[in-house]
Amino acid sequence: MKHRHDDTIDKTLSALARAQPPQGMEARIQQRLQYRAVEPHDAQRWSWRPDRAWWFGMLTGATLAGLLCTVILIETWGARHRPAEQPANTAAAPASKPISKRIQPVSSGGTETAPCAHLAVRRIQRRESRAKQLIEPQRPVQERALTREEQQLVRLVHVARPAELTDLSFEARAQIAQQESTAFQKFFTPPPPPPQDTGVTE
Amino acid sequence: MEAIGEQSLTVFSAERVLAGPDLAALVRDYSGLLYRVALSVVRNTAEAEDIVQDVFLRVLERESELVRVAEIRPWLVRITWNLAIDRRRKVRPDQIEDLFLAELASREAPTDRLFEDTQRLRQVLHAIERLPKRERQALLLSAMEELSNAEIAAVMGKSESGVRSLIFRARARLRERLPD
Repeated sequence: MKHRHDDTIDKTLSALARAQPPQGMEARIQQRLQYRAVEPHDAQRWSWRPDRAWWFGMLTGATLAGLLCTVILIETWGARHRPAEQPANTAAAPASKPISKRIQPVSSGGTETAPCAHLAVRRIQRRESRAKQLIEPQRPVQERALTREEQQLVRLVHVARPAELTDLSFEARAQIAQQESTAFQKFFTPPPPPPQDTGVTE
Repeated sequence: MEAIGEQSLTVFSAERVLAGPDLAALVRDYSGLLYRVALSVVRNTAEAEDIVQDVFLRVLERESELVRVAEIRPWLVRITWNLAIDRRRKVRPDQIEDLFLAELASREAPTDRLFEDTQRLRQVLHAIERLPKRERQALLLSAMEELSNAEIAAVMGKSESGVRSLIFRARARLRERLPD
């Protein structure tokens, strides 16, 4: 007995079976086969070709991206696990209480310790060293530029001329100032009055 | 592209290409069948032609093995089917089905019944698509008039009775699934 859908199914299948290839398909296939037969496969398999450029480009890009990600990950990991160098202005930050007291010390000899005990010890050591760095002043003290007077002093020391070195002494300076003052006073001292006329007239 | 083709044609004699098991004859005899097999899977004419070309390129690469192939037609159909399945994974059939259906329906239906026939084909093809893999393969290959049940069995690596059973089950499933 024929089902009512059998006709529909048969028509669909026959439509598929009657599909005709596009015109010239055979010729195109023959031509492509001839072209492929001429093409030196092995020589060109790994050589650069425009139609393979995307493949090489993608592979290169993926490799570079992978390398970049690896470098970034290593840097990030290193930055986290390296003892941090704190800036000088954070030296006054309060260290609330010793970290080693907050973290339970790991027993060194027992087999009952946690499998990652050495990691915990390292972590404690790292935190303690950071706390020390926070408390201690930063060394060396940062150098600042010399003042004008300091620069002159350095220059004098290097030149080492006795006359200029003398100027550095307070006593010598005071003496010079005294001499200059005396000379000044002497210069401005009014001249002695002329001798008085005795009244002799001619 | 044409220039390259012409150059290759002048440089290389066709005799060498078509030597041995006569590749040109294979193309002439089987390209139509292989095209229909590919089309039934990918449902796109350009893709189907591309698949057929790929099939013959593979044959060319394994030219030396051709003499050992006992049944050339099932061998070619099997290659075509596998390539078409691979290609089917890359293309999205929902996008191309409308064009394919219109092309199929226009061959057999008058214009006034075109829409109705297209809808009918779409339903059947969707139902075929939902069939189990082996049943679908058996059903679609059985539609090809050039292939006998024995050859379909050779393609699928099954017995003839197994193929008949698969076709029967596929049709029964289709009847159930098609809307009234």
